Formats: sequence, structure tokens, C-alpha cells
Amino acid sequence: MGYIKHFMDVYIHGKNQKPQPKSRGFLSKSLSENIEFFKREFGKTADLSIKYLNIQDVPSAFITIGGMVDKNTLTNSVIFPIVQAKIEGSTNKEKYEYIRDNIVAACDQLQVSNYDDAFNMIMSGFALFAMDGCDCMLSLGVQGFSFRSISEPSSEVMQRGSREGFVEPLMINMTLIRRRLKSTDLKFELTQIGSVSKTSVCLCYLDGKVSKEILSKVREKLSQVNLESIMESGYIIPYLEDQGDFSLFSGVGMTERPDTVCGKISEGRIAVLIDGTPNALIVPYLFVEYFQHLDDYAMHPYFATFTRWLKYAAFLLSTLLPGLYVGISTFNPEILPGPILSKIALAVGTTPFSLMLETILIHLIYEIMREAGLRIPRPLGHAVSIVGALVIGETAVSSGLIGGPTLMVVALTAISSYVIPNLYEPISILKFAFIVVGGLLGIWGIMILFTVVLVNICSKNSYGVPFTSPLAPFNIFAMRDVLVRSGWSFLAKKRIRVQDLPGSEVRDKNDRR
Amino acid sequence: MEKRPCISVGQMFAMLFVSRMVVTMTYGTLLIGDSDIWDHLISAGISFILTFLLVLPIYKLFKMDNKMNVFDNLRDLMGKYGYIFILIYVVYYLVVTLHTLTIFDNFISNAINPPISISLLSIFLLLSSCYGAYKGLEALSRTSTFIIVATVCSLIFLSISLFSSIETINFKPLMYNGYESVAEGTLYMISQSSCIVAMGLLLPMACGSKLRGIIIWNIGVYLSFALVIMLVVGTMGDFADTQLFPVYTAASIGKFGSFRHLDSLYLGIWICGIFLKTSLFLLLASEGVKKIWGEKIRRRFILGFSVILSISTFFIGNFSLLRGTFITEFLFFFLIFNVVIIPLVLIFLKKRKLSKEEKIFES
Repeated sequence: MGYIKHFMDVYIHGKNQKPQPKSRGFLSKSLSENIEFFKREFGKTADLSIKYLNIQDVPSAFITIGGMVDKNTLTNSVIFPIVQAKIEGSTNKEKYEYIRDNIVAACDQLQVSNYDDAFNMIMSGFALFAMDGCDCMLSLGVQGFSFRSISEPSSEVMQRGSREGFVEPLMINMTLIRRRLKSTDLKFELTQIGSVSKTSVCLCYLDGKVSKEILSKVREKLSQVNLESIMESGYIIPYLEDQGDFSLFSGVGMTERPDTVCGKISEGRIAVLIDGTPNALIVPYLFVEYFQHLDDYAMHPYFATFTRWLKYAAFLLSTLLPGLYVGISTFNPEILPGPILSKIALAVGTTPFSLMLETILIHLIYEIMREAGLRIPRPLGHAVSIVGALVIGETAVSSGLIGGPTLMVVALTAISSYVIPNLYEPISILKFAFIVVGGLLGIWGIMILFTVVLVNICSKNSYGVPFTSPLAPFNIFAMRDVLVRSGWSFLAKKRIRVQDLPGSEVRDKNDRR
Repeated sequence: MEKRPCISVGQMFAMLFVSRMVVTMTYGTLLIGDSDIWDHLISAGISFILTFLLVLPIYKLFKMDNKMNVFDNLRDLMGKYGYIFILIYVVYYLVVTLHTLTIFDNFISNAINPPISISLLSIFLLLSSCYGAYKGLEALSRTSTFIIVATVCSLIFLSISLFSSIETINFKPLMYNGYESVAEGTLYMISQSSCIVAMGLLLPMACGSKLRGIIIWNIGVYLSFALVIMLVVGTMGDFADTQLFPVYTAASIGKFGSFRHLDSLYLGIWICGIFLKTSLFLLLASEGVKKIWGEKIRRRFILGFSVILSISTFFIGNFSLLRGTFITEFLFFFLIFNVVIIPLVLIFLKKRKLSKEEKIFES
């Protein structure tokens, strides 16, 4: 009953919701008038299903959307008991109330009295029971649409731990979180965005941990979403970011794992779940979190620390290596050891393009292949791999079009970028920028651009918390989970909430229960 | 009241330390003339004490009202005339920015002479610095946290790499050729202490113990300077006096295990430092502009100044006024005016104002 009540609060009574632009009015006492209105509003849609019944000589109807209700449940738990029952009451209204209070076995049921509410309910998979002579309808929770079963998220695979990932229906995702955090402090706050799609969006947080200021900012930002439809969580990311703060790096995190969400909200963060998408958005999200993975906490601390440093190195390698390769080989070859230098010189001497152009070309070809690999049907994926390996890996080098060292650098860069998949987007853009600057201005240009990127990252705030915190502004205690991954005994000593990090502008830091 | 950025004392002095390291690393005959580098060890000691003395007026002014910076005091105590002095500060910050860019230009063209367009590189540096200034003090101070770690690590690494090459015979008696070199070195070091002028604006924005910060910063700056002198002279002897940029030369001969050509490491830190220094001083200049003409003009100023300087970078390397001993003397007197004379006048005016207010209160 809790969910439906919450659902009704939001959808029917308009709590946390912008005012509806136009109301369709109240339901009529006449069943035929109501049915006519439904037919008129829905037009020639094929999925509107109306089942007429005569219940003790009273014209009645069940209104549903085909495919969204479980027909067995509707028949066995609702229609059959109503038809079989001996209904008491002299007037139609009394009969309706008797059915509502004594017969219908569906646990989720609510009465609606206007068309807007009625439309919202049936489009959310509810069945509407209407009787002639009643100016209200009974909405019954008999949803039965099919959805993908819970499975391991392909983009966030873990060596140890849970194999459960989010799915598309919002309610199931909420239960996945609730099952892991059996606390009354865990709150789900439903709202609706998208003027046409009316997508359900749920804010998930731990009361007592979350900052009220950050929470109200998130609510405010969500209320400013002016899209017609939200088909994917990525649609609302720009609205959750700080405005006018151009950066390649996002201050909104994304995960497909309920356990990750639980970990994040335990530190005072807020998760935003969107109906129809298996991703949860997390705010505030800091730069160091891109390098933290749930697996780190399942492994031994020494190994988790090692893998964390590998991730930092992989990030730098994937961003800077191609640029440094071009810059150093072109302008500062003396830095390179003799044997490597001679190999590069030989390759450059035998290929037709300049080193910068060659590196850009191979990176572009690699990106095209990657994009093709993502989009084409799976059975064709092998063909792309073969073409890539043979055409680029073998033929291009042996025909003297591409140098071997360049190919090696591109391969190393590509593999390194897969270590931190969440940072793939900024890395892929930055590496091109570094190649161009390295090819034009050498390592001096690369150093300047690197500092510019650093300033860009450092200038960013995520909901009043510095994006680079706790590195800058520095906090030695928070380093236990940044530069190293300390053991659980040390991590459990004091849980740092995101709003408590140094440099945070959040005012209600000490608002603990 | 406008919202002021708040940075920690550690961040502030990290920023100032990195800015000062640029001076240490480009220290050479281009700016000190024929002076004996070894004698500058004494100059570093004298400058260390003098820096403390020079900070005193700015610090005292700050202690009198810890929410007001020099610009606020100038406006508050001098009224409209205060704007003239704010403009003098703005000019000082711009001169320091230009001077830093000239050193960059000269260093690239004289010491490295790379096969790239130096003007293009200067424009890129300048535009990047403008971006840094545009992003504000908090962004720069956070960036300096990363840069100072790299700087200190690189300095330690360079020291270790040069330590094995030190020849004790290179350490000749101090002041062997008289005291002129000591005086020249002291003048140079003090003239390059533009960070003290920057403190006038930054101190009210920093949270934490400022006095402790000043002491640690000063010790760090001159200890690293002394270390650099010892390493340069110890490894190169009199040869160091003939080099335009002896620290760079020393870095290029340093080796540590299989690591060679540490000049690239030197270049890395140095460029980050140059970026930070030009961004910081451009930002400080823009703060002055904001004080006089408002926030809108401040943004236009950053953009406009970057365009003007971008054009001037084609000629900047030939500006003889911005290099050599003339600029050292000019910067020295300009610095004294900004950190001693103006703050002392402000202290006097502030005390007079306070005593007037007390009299009014008593009556």
C-alpha cells in the first residue's frame, strides 16, 4: 500500500509536482458518458481495452491498457469474485462500495474521481473498475507487463559480490535498494518529469546522512527539466550539472548496481532513479570516485591500493601518451633512449604521413571501429575484429602506411582507456587535443594544456562540494580511500559524508540526527 | 556584500611558492648580469631576513582589519584617490605578468631554441593563463596543490640526481671578489618577491594561521634557492656563471640510475609554474579592475588584455626593458612602493581614522 499511496500522492494529489496545465474535469455518474470520454481522448488507439459487464443488472466496465495488466490476476482475483459474489446494497453507489470494501482482493487499490487521475492510473498499468451511477472509479494494481529479468550489469562487472543489476521498471529498482538497506531512514521520493512521457523519477537518499541543502537543490533542478520526454537517464544529466560550468568531466555519476547506490547514499549522496532505464544517477559525484570501484572493497587492501594506482596511471597514460609520443618524437627526440628513437625514426622515415597525422588517423580508425563494434549486430562483431586486426594491425604496417610504434601507442592507449570506462568520453576527446598540441607545440604545449585541464577540473564544484576534493582542498583523513584503500577496520572508524569534505560550501554539514 | 572566494592558507602559500619557484629556476645571467652565483648564497640569507621585514607592513595592515585587502583599504581610506593607487597595483601585476612572459620567451628561444613557433607557444600560454584567471582564485589554488606536489618531488629528484656530480673543489671562498655580487643578488631576489604584493590581496581570502604560513613559505623559498645555488655551483663551478640559465643546464647533465635528460622534468615543472604565476597575477590585476570599474569590465579586461598581449608576444622577446638589470632595479623600487610605502600610509590613515572614531564615540 505504501508505494501506491506514495504514487497517488505524487500523481493524483500533485505533491512534488508542477501544476498540471489543463484539467480534464471530474468523472460523470453515467458510465456511458465516462466510456465515451475515454474513447474520445484515446481516439483510435488499439491498446485501449474496455470489458463491459452487468453486475446484478448494473452496467459496469473494466478499462485497461492491453499488455500492461496481468489478465490472469484480473480475471481470477477481480472479475470472477465480483461476478460470483452476492452484492449487498440498494443503490448503485452502495453496490460499488460493497465491491470495493468486501470483494476485490487486489492489495493495491485506490479510488479516483477525475479523468486526469484515471488516465494516469491506467497508463501506469492499473485496471479501472467503473459502475453506472458512480462518479468515481476503482483503480486496481494488477500490473503485468513483461520486463527484463534482473541480471548482472554488463558495463560494471564485479569479480566478487552481488550479480544483481538494475532493470528498467522503477519499482523493482527501488526494491533492490530497499533489500540492501533495511533502514527506516531510507527514503524514496517520487516525482514526475517530461510533459509528454510523464516519466517517474525517484530520489533515493538516507535521511540523517543527506544534506537538506543538496536535496533541495536536486529537487529544484529536477523541477526545471523542461523536456517533453525522458527516454534515458542521460537526458537529465545536463539539468543536474551546475549551469555555466563547462567541463568534459561530469559531476553526476552513473551506475547500474544497487550495491553501489547503497554505498553512495550511505555517504550522504542522492541517487536519482528513472523509470525505464537501468541506470541510477548519483549526485554529488567527485573526480576521485571515477577511480573507485566496488571490487576495491571486496579485495585485500594492498591489492585494492595497487589496482587503484593502476587506474590513475591508466588515466594519465590514455590521455597523455599519444600526445607525448608525438610531441617528444617530433621536437624532443633526445629524451628517448637510442634504440627506441631509432625504431621511431625508421618508422617515420618509411611512412607517408607526419607522426601527428598518422597518430590522429589511427585513433580515428580505432574510434570508428569501436563505434561499429557497438552498433552492429553481435554475430557481425567478429567480422569487425578480423577486419580491424588484419587490415589495420597487419596490412597497414606491412604496406608501410602506418608505423609500428604508432600502432603500439594507439593499442596501449585504447587498453588503458578501458580501465576506467566511465571516463572514456573525456579521455577520447582529450587525447586528440593532446595529439594536436603535441604535434604543433611539443611537450611545452602539452604541459600547458595539461595545466589547463587541471584548472578546468579544479574549478568544478558538484553541489557545493569541490570536484577535486579531498585531493584539493586536501584532507589527510580522506586519503584512506583515495591514494590508498585502507582496511575496513580503519575505514569504519569514521564515515565521511560528502558534505563534510574540505572546501564544501554546504551549510547544513552538521545536521546529523 | 559580495561573496569572496575562500582558500586555505596552505593553498595560498602553495600558489605563492610555485610562483616563486619560477624565479628560482630561471635565475641566471640574463637577469643578474656578471654576478658570482656562489656569493648569492649570502644574498639568499639576507633576502630571507629582508622578506620578513618587507611583509610586516602588509601583515600589520591585514591584522588591523582582517576582512579588508589592500584595495578595500585604499578605497575606504583614500576615497576617490584610492583608485589611482589601485591602478598602480594593477600596473605592477601586469608588469610582473609581462616580465614572466618575457623570461619564458627568452628561455625558450635562447636555452632550448625548439623548431616550433615561439610566438604561437607564447600566445597559447597567454590564452591558457587568461583561462586560469577567468576560472578564479579557488580553481588556481586547488591546481597549485597538485603542482606543488610535482614541484617538490621533482626538486628532490633533481637534487638526488645532481648530488653525485658535486665537486667540493667548486666551492670557493665566499665573497672572493668583493661584496658587489652579494648586493646584486640581494637586489635581484628582493625585486622578484612579487608574491609579497600578492599577499596584500590574498591574505584576507585565506583561512588559517597566516603568520605560520608566511614563515614556512619564506623558509621554503630561500632554502630551495640556497639548495639550487649549491647544486648548480657544486656541479658546474665557474661554468655556471657563463650560462644564461644555469639551473636548466645543471638539470640537463643530471642523471639518476637509468634516468637521463632531466631537463624535460625541469621544463615540466617550470611551465606549470609559469602558467600559475601569469594566471595568478592576471587575476590579481583583474581584481583591481573590478574594484574600479566592476565585474563586467573585469571579464572584458581579461579578454582584452589577452588579445593585446597575444599581439605583443610577437615582439615581446625583443623588449630589452623587460630583461636585464634595468628591470631588476625597476621592479625593486616598484615593489618597495607597493609593499612598504603604500601600506605604511594606509596604516597611518587607518590609525587616524580609528582614533577619530574613538573620540566621536567617547564624546
